[in-house]
Amino acid sequence: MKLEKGSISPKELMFSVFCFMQGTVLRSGFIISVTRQDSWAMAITGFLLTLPILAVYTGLLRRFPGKNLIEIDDIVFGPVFGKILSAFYLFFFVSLAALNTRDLGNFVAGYMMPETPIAAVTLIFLVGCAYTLRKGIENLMHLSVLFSIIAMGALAVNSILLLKDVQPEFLRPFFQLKFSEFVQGTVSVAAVPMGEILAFTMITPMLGKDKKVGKPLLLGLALSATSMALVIIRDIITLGPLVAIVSLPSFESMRYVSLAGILTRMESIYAVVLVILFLFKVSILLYAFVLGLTQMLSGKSSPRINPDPAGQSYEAEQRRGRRSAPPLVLISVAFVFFYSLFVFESVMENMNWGATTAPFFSLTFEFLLPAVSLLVVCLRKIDKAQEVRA
Amino acid sequence: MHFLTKLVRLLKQQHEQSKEADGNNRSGEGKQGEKVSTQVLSPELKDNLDAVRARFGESSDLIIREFSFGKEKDGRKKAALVFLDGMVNLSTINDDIIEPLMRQSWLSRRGETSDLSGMDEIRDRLLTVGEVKTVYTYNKVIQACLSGDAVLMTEGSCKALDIGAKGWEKRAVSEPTSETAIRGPREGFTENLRTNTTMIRRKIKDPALKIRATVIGKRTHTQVNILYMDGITDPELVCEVERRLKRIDTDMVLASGYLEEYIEDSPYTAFPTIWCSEKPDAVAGKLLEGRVAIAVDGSPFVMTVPMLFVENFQNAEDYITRSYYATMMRILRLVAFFISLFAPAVYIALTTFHQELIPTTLLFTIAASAEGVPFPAVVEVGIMMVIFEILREAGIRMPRPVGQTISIVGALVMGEAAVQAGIVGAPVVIVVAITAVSSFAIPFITDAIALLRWFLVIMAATLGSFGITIGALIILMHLSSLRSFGSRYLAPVAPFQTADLKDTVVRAPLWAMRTRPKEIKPQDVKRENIPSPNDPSVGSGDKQGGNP
Repeated sequence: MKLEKGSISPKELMFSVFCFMQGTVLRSGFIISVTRQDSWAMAITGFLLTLPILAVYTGLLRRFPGKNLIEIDDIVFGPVFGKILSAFYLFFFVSLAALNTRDLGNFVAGYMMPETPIAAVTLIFLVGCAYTLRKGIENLMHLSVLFSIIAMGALAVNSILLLKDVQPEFLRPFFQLKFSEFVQGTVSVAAVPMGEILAFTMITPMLGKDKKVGKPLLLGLALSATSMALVIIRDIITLGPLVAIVSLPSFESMRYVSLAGILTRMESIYAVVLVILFLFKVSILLYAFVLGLTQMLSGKSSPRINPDPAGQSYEAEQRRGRRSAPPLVLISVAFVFFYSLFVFESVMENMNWGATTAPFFSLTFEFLLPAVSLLVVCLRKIDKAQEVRA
Repeated sequence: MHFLTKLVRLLKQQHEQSKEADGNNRSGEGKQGEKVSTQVLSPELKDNLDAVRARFGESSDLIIREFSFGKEKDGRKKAALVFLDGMVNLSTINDDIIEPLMRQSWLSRRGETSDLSGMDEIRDRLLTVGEVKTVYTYNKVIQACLSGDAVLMTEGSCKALDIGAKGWEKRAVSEPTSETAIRGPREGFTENLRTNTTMIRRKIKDPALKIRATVIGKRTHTQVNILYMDGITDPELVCEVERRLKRIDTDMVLASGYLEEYIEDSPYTAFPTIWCSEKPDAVAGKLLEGRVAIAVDGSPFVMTVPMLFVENFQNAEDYITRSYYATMMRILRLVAFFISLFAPAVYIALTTFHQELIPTTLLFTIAASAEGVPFPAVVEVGIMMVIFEILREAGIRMPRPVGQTISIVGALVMGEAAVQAGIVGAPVVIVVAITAVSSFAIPFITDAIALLRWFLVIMAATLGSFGITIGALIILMHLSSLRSFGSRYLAPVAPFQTADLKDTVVRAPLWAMRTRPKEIKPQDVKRENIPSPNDPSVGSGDKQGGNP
């Protein structure tokens, strides 16, 4: 039987980007608290700001087709310095995974299960992520279209049900914000949800060598930006001035839904969707981390941690069990678990970090390092031919 | 000269046959068996019969009919017919084998004495039976007897004739009990392999329908047939099925379910990854989609691979009823699937963790009914689920009349009385009841759901709706990672294949289902050439004709 090398289609990559982003989009409170009723515009300007970052990624990936970020580092900077740079990326991935896990823990402990310790929540959540990695990330990405439909469907239904509660004048006055706030909002949007597609540079080799990576990433980003703008507009016109105060505007606005006294408490759907999207996001980040770590430790060019056992029988299944790296997955998950426990003292610290520090922290990894890599590539004129020789 | 060439050919044939026989018995049937199986038949009839008797031992169903035929004294030849009582059709034995041999006298007139031509003469001119093969080894003789054939051996010949006289008691073709038909054909498979393949052959009258045979089971020697459509089915799929079947090294295959465990892709999953049916029309439909069918002798269920998850929600009747109604039924089945999987877990999560999500009036009622119950919700639900599973199992295994008693006891005592006695609350009974009823709407995955329900109940009791969500995601990931003979189990949902959504939740009209499912990788994707009824370029002519 043919072995499909865990290939994914561009469409799946596009919807994976959407799912990946959508988890953060639904928690847009950290931007709204800065730019208030004009936040929806930040989604668009943030998207525009992300375009050069995306151009850097595609530039790198196009020069080294079939290679991921860590492998490219090794080629561009050599084995020693490349490894150091890779370590930075890995730190970024694992930090993002921990931060997002913590975010989810805060959300669940805060809204769904107030009396449950956060550790229990994150533990079960990470068990789900570990299972996902064990079963293969491409299988999760196959599900991305389904998740996107669920997310968009929930969004659409909730928005329609809110139509009777909205007041469009809440959007006014337009653009009465300081330039510094505008820059802060734009950079936040570009850096925090959108630039995080850096993790996908670890996954694009799955597409196959001849597929273009730029288009699905761009379309996914555009889709996310659109939905982000729509969500923020909906939240603003539903909540009004309240939007800047609450930490989860989407969640609060859905509480307004009440149709004939029966269709209430729609926020529970939101909570479920959010958990799904978070699991998607953290799994991808964890995958990027584990794959990078495997490649760094083994030094081989492309050891796949989860080869897809397509069309193989149980012998292959058992072989796979030995070949994949469950200890590494479990160790990484345990690491993320403890990391997420002490990463923030409180929700407020988390929000403050998201609004002030996070953009600079993220942009270092998302823009600075890849841009330097691309620059070095261009200056040293390393391209495919040289790679083939190597 | 002529005699010599014949002899050489004969020896060659014998050698090949014995080699083949060795191959079939490579893994042994005991030391004694091996010794005999490699031997070719001896010209002495007595030796041959002794060897056969030795192999069968004291089996009382072995019948050896010794007789002699030919007219003239010196031309008379001793012969013996070996068969197993009950496995053969006695009228064939009497009228078509023994009678021509003993009554018809022209053989002696010809005066042929060469034993070689004697056997061929019998085969070519005397036996009025459709299926006759010449065999050379003991092993073949034994196999022929065991598969219901009669074996004719004559004095002085080292050949024997394997005469097809199969005729054992078998169940008649009847309406299948596991799947009832409303408008569809009512015939169902039986335990007889040939009857089953014939029923499929009668649905698909095309030489492209190929049937490959193989034998599995060192002791049971079960006939297994692989059916596929040449030109539609992916040849690699057929090879893969054959490869997996060949790899099986077991001593028994008593039903199709035995094979299932040996050839499925993921042996640890709770979900079925091999589809099976009792209905020839359903199997024919699967074959024409490009799947491979595996029919096992002795089992009224024919399996098809690869299986997709959506097949759990499909029914052969869907394609006969109106597409709107079929679509509604599909949605209902999906709803039933979700209810039977999630209802107990959601009830536990709501009553234990998220009381605020229950409408206030209902909350009061639930609280009032739970007031006298000493257990937490998860224990209540657990008790009722265990009781339900016991009732179900008892109802299935009991003889019919007792089964009714069980259901009455179950319905009245367990339901009403348990509530009044204060062991469980009334809402729990309702939840478990609707769970049970729903799970029967999708009979094919009832077992998988029954297992996963417990998993979700535990997740819900631990972490409420968050636990259910993570549990559901784990199940979804598991489903997404499943493979069935190279096809991704959740297709066409994951990976998303827009073209094949026409036969999932929606059952599109038949004229709109122009292509075969892509995930099965059929060689010929196109199924039909019918344009849709509203296609103006084609439909207009008819309409104009109808309305002058």
